[in-house]
Amino acid sequence: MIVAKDLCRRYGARTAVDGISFEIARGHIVGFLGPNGAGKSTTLRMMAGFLPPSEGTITIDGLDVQEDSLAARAKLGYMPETVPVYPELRVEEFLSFRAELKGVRSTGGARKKAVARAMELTRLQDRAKWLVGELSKGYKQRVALADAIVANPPVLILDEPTASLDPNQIIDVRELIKSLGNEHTIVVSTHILPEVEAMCSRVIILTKGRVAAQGTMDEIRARLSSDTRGLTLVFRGERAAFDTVAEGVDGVTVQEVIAVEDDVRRAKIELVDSDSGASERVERLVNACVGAKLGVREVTLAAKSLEAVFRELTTEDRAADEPSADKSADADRAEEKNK
Amino acid sequence: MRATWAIFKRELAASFYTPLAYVILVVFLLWNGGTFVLLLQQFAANPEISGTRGPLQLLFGGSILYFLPILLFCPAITMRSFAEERRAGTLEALMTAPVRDVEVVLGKYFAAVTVYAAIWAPTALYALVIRKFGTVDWWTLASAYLGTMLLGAAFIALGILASAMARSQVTAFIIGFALTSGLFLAGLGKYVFESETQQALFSHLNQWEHMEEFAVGVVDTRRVVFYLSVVALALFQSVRVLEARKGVQ
Repeated sequence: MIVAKDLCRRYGARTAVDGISFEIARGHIVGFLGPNGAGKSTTLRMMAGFLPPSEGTITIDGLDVQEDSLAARAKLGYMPETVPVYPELRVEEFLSFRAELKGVRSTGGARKKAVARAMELTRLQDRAKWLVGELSKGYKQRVALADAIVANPPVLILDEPTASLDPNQIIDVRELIKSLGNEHTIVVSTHILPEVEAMCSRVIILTKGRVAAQGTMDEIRARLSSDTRGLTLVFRGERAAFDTVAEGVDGVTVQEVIAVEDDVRRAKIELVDSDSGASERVERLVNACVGAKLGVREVTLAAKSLEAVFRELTTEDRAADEPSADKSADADRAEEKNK
Repeated sequence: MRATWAIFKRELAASFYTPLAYVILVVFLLWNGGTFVLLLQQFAANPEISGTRGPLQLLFGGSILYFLPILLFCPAITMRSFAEERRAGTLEALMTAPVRDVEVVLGKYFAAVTVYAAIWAPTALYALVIRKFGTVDWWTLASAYLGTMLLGAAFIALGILASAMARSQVTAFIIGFALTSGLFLAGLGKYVFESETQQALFSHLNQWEHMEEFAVGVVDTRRVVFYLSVVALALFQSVRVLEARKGVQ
């Protein structure tokens, strides 16, 4: 449905997107994940035909976004991250204007129906008569989302669709995007990892304008969980007893133990390099604790910051691509471990 | 041209949702009303000066008092059109909708021309005032309004071009005023140069002279072509500027 080949975009001397290629199949929900400045928005803008690529091509349903711009744009609903809405219009008027721009005819009340449908899906019915300028940020974002879907295009490109929503609204929007995924091809960008996990069937991870990794959520997850490096364990029992247990498990180092309540302690544990897998060691440690009659109350695998995930992914890729860079990649990893 | 119609409607509505259009309307009417009163008093005090040009003819292009508000208000009407959309980020949504750049430019242009016509509309009352005390040549008056609309159409096209280039309304206004007053001043070259060729050349640009003709009922096709050419050139440039500035923040 969407094919990008060797996309590059330079702003003067700065390269925002540096030769990325991907293919997105019909009916998929694909997440673009990356830290700020990774080139997500730039890529989405090029997909939407707003930004001409410096090099490379993008086609939507076989139509080149630059050459067949009008026909390609007719196939997509794009929501920029800036939430572009006209404050002086009422919600209904705004959506009606956008539907008219996108060629939804008013014959037979088709435009009214399209607007009503978009408002229903984004739960805006009770704000239909409000001026857009009077709405809260979250509602404005929903108006922009309603705008993207009002003409019911086959492709949706949503730049940070949940950026300014509250937790309940975020869940609503995720559900909406998932349900739209049945009949639409959807591209969303975000810098929040759980967001991608919650919505997307595939993910493309960008760093510094390059694709660091792409694949299904499971493939990415496998890559991430295989090198868990630490965990926190809350237990009831004596410190000494715990230390003995921990020493008995191979590849586990206790970093610190803090008393949280009278008899309850929180231990920070590092998983050092070892032959056995991290998950197995976690299992063994917990079993050993239970065996020693320590009351295990909580086990939390240390959440790695997204930043660390990206660094790993990029350094791994570099190591695989250029053997000569091995040393620096190792140095990077060692440095990270020290943190 | 479906998109042009949609954009025209929204632009026109937006012009009257903000106070700017009303401010321009009121200031413009006060200004023209004042000019008209001055002219009437002049004619009342000196009945012997009335020749081919009465107060209505002098109102249209008879003095700098006619040109000054047009030079100022045309870029003020158009400064919002693209600059504000670029500032607010709505240009991105507008240009990624399946609409041609030229449709967007035309929609915004016609809306601005309509606002310009609206601020002139109340001056038709002056003709009714004159008719109460004398006679009005309606064809001459129609010619004066035609000239006024052509002049405004050209200035507004220049204002649209300025707005397409700018990121803020203030910049759009300044560039727009530079363009309109630049064109106006170029016309005054006729009074600066001495050779006949130069004078003939600059008289083609001389809006003051053009308006004096229109005001007495002379509709010269060369003038019509001149103003329509300015419109076409400026709007074509606006489309090109939009295209070139795509994606520029």
